[in-house]
Amino acid sequence: MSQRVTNLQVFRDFALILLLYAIYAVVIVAVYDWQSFTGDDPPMWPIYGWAGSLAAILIWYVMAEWVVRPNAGNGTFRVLWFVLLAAVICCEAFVAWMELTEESGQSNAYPWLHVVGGIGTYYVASVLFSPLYAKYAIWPASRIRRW
Amino acid sequence: MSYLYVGVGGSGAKLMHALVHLTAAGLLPSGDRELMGLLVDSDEANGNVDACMQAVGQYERCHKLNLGTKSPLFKNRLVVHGPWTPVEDVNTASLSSIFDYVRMQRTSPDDADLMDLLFSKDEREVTIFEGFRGRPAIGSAIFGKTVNLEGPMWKDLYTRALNARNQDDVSLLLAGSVFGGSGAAGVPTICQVLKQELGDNINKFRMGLVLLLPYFTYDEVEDEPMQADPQAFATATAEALKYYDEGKFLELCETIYAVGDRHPAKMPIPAVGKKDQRNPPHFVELVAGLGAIRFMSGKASKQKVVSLAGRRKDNTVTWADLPTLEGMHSTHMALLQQFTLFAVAYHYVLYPEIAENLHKPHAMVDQVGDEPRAKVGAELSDLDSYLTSYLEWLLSVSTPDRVGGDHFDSGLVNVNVFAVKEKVERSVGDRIVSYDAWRLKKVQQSRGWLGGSGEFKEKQIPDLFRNLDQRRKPNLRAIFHSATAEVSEPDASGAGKLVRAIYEACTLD
Repeated sequence: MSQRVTNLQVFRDFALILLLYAIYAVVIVAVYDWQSFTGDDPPMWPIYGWAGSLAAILIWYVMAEWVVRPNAGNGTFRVLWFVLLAAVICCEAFVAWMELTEESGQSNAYPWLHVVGGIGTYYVASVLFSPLYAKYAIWPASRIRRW
Repeated sequence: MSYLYVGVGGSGAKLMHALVHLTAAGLLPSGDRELMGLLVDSDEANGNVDACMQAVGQYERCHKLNLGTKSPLFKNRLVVHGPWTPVEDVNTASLSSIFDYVRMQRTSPDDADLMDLLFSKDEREVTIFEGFRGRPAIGSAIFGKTVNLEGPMWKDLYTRALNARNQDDVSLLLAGSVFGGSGAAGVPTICQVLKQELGDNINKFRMGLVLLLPYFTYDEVEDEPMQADPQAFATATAEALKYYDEGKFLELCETIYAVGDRHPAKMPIPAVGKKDQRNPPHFVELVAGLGAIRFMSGKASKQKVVSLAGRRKDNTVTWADLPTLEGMHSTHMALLQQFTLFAVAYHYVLYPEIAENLHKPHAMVDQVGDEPRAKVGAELSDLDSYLTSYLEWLLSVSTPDRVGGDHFDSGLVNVNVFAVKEKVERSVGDRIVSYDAWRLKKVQQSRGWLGGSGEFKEKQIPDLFRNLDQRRKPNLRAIFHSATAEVSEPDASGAGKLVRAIYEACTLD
């Protein structure tokens, strides 16, 4: 029974993380004009930025749930989280820089979206849907999470 | 309603100690009945009695945890009195003074002559405050003269037995060794007194005996002119069993368990009594304790049955070897295994984690709700003390230092997971005794990704049990996760709720 409870919780967290990133994807599509994503030359850099942030949160979840010991302490969890945050920042900065410099034929570039969206979504997902023993590791989860 | 138990001598106290742990693990048949024990020993300061009473005190504190009504953990109330001693005044603690030998010589010289015939001057004068020194004849005479069911401590046992007679069978178990001093003297004498007093007043009175046959030995105690002689244990046992047979004790008692081991364990500290006589627990006591549970689970029956229990290999005891009531083996073993895993996981991993985070947001600490943290901390600390004593007991049960025979191999648990062996020096009187002994590993909060610091290695927990199905290996990560699961019973609260969740997380599926 206990294993089933754990699986259910992991499934729920993954579903909510994907929902959050689906909302972020909708924002990207809305900002970039959805018709541009249906054409022959869709804007790829926002997709890379979105995918980089999603990959980071999934790595965080998998590591905190199955790799790091549950009693490793919040310090250990935070080290891992900040390493991944740094990776997300680099990824989003690279995406923004590439978007600003590349002759992609796009009329607009939205570097703020990658910084706010990519990094922000990673942060919000970490605060709200981190695994059990890391759930209070990221401020202000201890004030918010009641589940 | 109570399960009644009378333990005589050091071995009787050791069996009570085993029963405390088996009760904590939830093996008593009914959670509604209390276990009432009375320890009898002429040696008021016997180390084994002291160890047992300490375990009882720790159990009582854990029993107060609000674990809910459906958990077997610490469910039964435990009331243990003792030790009751035949004499309380050190100045009158000899055969001569109890029977007033000087006066007897004047008033009834025939009785005095009989006493001269039966007991040497040394035996008449020796103080019994440190036991009967392997002279059961002294003890029999003294117990026969002093046991009184209306007296202190006995009165409570007597009253409980009488109060229970209208509700169900009244079961009383009496235990002690047949080869030493107090047990050999007290068991047959007290058995007859109890049967006479209680059997006459209670229709459905069941009495059981646990006779502990020789299972330990020790070196001679220096500078002690009168002491029990381990070389004579075998002869004393043969004579005692013959006495039980000829005395028709199987007609007095419904059940008799005789438990021993072919290769006795060597006690590290030879002593005639007092605190120094603190013989380590032995697997024979675990087997005898399971016999006690079996007796308490039974009903009155006129059918006479001879049951035999043994083990497959002489140099080990496995889960399959432990005897239980028919049909209850898997249930009882599962309870013992769950309790053992609970003890190891709690003492070494979970409690240090909880204690460090008690005043911080933490997934497990959330279980205690709004309960004051100081109270929760004290309750969890009490539980840790109890579980430490259980692990010490289990370690000792699993590592007897047997004389002769092959090296004993623990077949229940892998003691290397939670214990280490090292050289120990202990002062006994003015001597320093040095010997190899097992001790529990030190608790150290392990940190970092691997948690490899300290003596205890978390990654060894899956190897805790021996002779178990591979699929039932413990998984610490699963325990951590399940320890935060909602406890189904609303009655469980505070520290009890957290403990209940951890205990249930230690189920070996």
